[in-house]
Amino acid sequence: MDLKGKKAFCFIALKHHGRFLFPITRALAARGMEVLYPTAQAESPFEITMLDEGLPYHHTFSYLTPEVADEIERAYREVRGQWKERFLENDILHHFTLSIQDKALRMHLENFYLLRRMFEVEKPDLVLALHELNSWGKMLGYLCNELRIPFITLQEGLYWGPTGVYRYHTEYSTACFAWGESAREVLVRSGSSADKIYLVGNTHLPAAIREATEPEAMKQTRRRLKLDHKTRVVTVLMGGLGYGSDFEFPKPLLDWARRRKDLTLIFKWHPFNNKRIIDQIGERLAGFRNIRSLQQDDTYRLLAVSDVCAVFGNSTAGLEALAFGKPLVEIRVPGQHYSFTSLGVADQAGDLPDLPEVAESILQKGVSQERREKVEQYLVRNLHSLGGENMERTLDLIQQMLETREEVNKRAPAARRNSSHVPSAKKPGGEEFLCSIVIPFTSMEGVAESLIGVAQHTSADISYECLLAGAGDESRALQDFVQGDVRSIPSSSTSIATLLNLAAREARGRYLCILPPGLIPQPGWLEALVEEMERDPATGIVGGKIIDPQGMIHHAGIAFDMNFSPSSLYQLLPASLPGAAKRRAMRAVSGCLLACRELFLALGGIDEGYTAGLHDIDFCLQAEAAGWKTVYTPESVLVAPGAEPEREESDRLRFYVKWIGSLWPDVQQYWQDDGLDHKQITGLYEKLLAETKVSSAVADSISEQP
Amino acid sequence: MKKPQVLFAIGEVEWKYTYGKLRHLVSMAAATGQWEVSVASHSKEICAAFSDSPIKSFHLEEEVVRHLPEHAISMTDLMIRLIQDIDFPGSRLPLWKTIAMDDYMGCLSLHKRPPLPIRPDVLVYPLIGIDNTTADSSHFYGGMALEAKKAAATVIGVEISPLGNRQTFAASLADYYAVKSEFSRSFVESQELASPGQSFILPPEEVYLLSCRQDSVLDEYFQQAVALKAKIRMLGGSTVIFIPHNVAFIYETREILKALKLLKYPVAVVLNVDPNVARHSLKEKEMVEKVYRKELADLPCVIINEEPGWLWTLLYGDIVWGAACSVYAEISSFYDKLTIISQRFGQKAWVGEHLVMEPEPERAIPMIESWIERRLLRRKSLNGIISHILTTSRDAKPEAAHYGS
Repeated sequence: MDLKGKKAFCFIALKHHGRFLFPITRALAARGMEVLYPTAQAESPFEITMLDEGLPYHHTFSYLTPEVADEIERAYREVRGQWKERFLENDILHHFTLSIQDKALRMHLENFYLLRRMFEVEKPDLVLALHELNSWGKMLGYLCNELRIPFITLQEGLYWGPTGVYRYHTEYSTACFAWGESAREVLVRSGSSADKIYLVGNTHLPAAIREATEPEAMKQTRRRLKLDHKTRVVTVLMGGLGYGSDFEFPKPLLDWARRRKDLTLIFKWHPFNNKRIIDQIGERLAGFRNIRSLQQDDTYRLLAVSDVCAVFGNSTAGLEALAFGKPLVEIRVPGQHYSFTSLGVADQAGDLPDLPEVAESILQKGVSQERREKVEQYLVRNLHSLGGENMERTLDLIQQMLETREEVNKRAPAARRNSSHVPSAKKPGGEEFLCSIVIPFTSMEGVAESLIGVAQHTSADISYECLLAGAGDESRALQDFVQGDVRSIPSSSTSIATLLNLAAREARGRYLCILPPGLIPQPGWLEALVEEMERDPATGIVGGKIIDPQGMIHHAGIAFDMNFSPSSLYQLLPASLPGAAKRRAMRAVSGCLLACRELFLALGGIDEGYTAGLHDIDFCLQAEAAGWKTVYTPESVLVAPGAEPEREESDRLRFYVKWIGSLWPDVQQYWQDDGLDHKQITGLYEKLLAETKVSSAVADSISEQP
Repeated sequence: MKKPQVLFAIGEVEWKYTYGKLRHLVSMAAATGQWEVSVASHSKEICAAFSDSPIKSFHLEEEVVRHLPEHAISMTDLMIRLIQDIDFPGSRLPLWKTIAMDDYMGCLSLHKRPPLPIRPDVLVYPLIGIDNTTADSSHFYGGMALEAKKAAATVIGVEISPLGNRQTFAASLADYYAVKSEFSRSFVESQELASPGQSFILPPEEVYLLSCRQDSVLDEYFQQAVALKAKIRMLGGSTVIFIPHNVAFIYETREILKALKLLKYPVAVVLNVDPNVARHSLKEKEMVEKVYRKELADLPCVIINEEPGWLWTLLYGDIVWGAACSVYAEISSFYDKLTIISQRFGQKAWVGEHLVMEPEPERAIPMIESWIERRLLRRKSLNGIISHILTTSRDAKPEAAHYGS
């Protein structure tokens, strides 16, 4: 991959960000990409991190111009007035220190407009940040969307449970590279977009393990810590911050150290703890030759030489210790839901005084086979892979993103030029049929059912042909089975988009109706689509209601959620929901859709960069960009046999890179139009969940019977 | 009729920065007798400082409420709802997205404070600058601003932490501004924190009370100020000319008194004499009354002061005009007084920013008038500001500032 001429921004706020990001930027730089490290004002200055790393950073203040200064000043006065109004409305803003508010307000506004200026000047092709949860993350993400630049975020540490905190990780991110399935689940269950998460593993840990466990490195570490070859090491990773100078190590722990001369206890403190206090605590251990109190040492080097590691609660270091293959003791932290012990990968100590007993047992008996297996499973779920392929995969994804962006940038003007020709496309032009129904398939699953549905429920008033686009032999067999105007468009392509384009070129109808196999048309389905199409000359695409066999909504038009991710409006709610019964213009529809054939061809057909999904939504957005309207009509009904398959990774990547800056959330607007608020929507889904639980409980009770 | 309630809110940080000198501002307001003056603070120590005075103090102790992560999330949710419609101007980025996590949730500190036992008409509190770094003080002032809003009280922000930083949100919470310098006043106006009629420069002595400077002369002055003022009874609204008298310079002093008649602004003259000096069997005071009878009679307000503690009296003056170079002249210019020496055949020079030597008194008049216009008329004592607010409808357009105590 040659990235010469390309530029990346990498935003490093705190030291540990670099740990995950530098392997990527180093690799990008090695491929010729220019990497810039932008920084901005912060209460806890980012410059310190940059200076520690020796990075030639670019400060936003260097991009200040009189125009930007004016813009900031105007914006500040406007926001200051609004903020003052809210501050004096009630006490909600009063629980956030006023002097911090004062600084934060100004700083965020300055950072935002200055970063925008920096983006305009430097024109990056890619932006990397550890996550988008903080002010800088949101600003970078927003600006990337505004300026159509892919924004990549990563996982910060161990994600231990669905909470509101994880809800905002994929809002502006084009892609969020997560360590493993476990984090993906946490993110998705918290409300992040499943579409935008890509499992790449930890970009740092495999190399860190390799380096720290090299025989020479281990020897050095042991020598530095004055550990002879017989000494056994128990490392306690002291969690949390805010230790006071009055902190005392519990007596049982010290007695253990006194007793076990062949043992060395290492207490590793988090670097954010006050160094002076940690030094004071360390001084009190001066009498112990086999206790080390360390703060600045490399944790990985310590883990490498440890026989047992102990962590407080749900620390990321626990996961890292397991990745190093070390037995883990979890010192319980009350109130935490995530527990290594509960997951079966650690032994639990109630508190620090209990550590000697638990650790001693491990030192003497080792770890059971069952534990080893559980740890292995845990690591697979949490770290995706510990091999060296993490970086290859990361770089491969980045390359795909950059290539897509380049392709889209090249193509965009052409699409716009075409747009001026398409309005005439709907005029009748002596076509043989009113509709050409295209069923693209890569396997025969569902094709027959759809065809039968077409035959049974399409009015004789509509002249139509059926085009079966897919593997030749199988479609020919079907052609024999179904009577009427059914044609086979043989192709060995496995790309739905390619099959559709092929069929569209062969079609002889004025309208193209894309019917994915498995969708079963219901009476009046096509008439309703055609009627809607002909109602308004500006309409270019029409989609219908799709329900599942239980009468729940499968598709009622596409809405974009807070992550800008498309999904069906009111999915899984009862089909009778009034909002699903409204015909309305929407940005996109999915599943079965009717489009003017000429429009289809004028837009260049379906983007063949998609392999399995999202092509239909992409097509609607293309039509929208060319000035055409997409309409959802509930009068056309189809039945879907089951849940939609998961979206392919390459399709997701393409979709979000291609449409950066053109997507925005609209789901709440639909709710509002339908007289619903967030609470009511939540209530509907909670009811659904309760009913599902009842039905699964009934199912369980039946299956348990002899 | 019930007196208006004037409440001073004083937090521990400003008390510390000013070495407790803020208490003099409170005492001076109380001494007018026109208002019910009280103090509110989150610090017991500050309230205790007023225990030996008739000024009521309310200890509003801030209680930090322990909270769980779930509470923090719920509070953040409420905060988001409160500001959800505020975007970065010219963008579609909602402000809450940048402020909700590290700033709000990360710094969330739930505080509980007892309700304010009075309903103030005017709240006086320090403008919160970026160096008000204690959470308690910050919470206290924010809470006081909210209480004032509930009570429809007018808020006067006094400048302790110097204005001039780009961050002005906390400072914007006031309705009126009592500031230390012309720079601060123009800053308040240029930043659109207040209109010209809502910001005032305080006199130098009050500025001292708002600084972390320590000056034993001024400290003593404020100890005596109320009593002295009662004794001297100067005319309000007049420019006070302090003349340090010396029996060897009768001619020059008479010329000065004559020249004063030419001033277009009303003046009150304090002629300072030494009770221990006598000439021709006349005490200096008697001598002055005899020698300048005509000149004194032509002036509307003259006080011949022979009280001890001359320096304190000097501090009452706005302008010091003497016939001789003396320690009076030297020190008065340090206290931001225009000081003029008019000695026959004497020097003609600008000695320092505020010290001028002009042998011809008449020639000093334009200089004095300009000083009154550029400095004195633009200043207003805190009591003057309070009085101005209470006599002006809150909704009416504030009048132009005028000098007076």
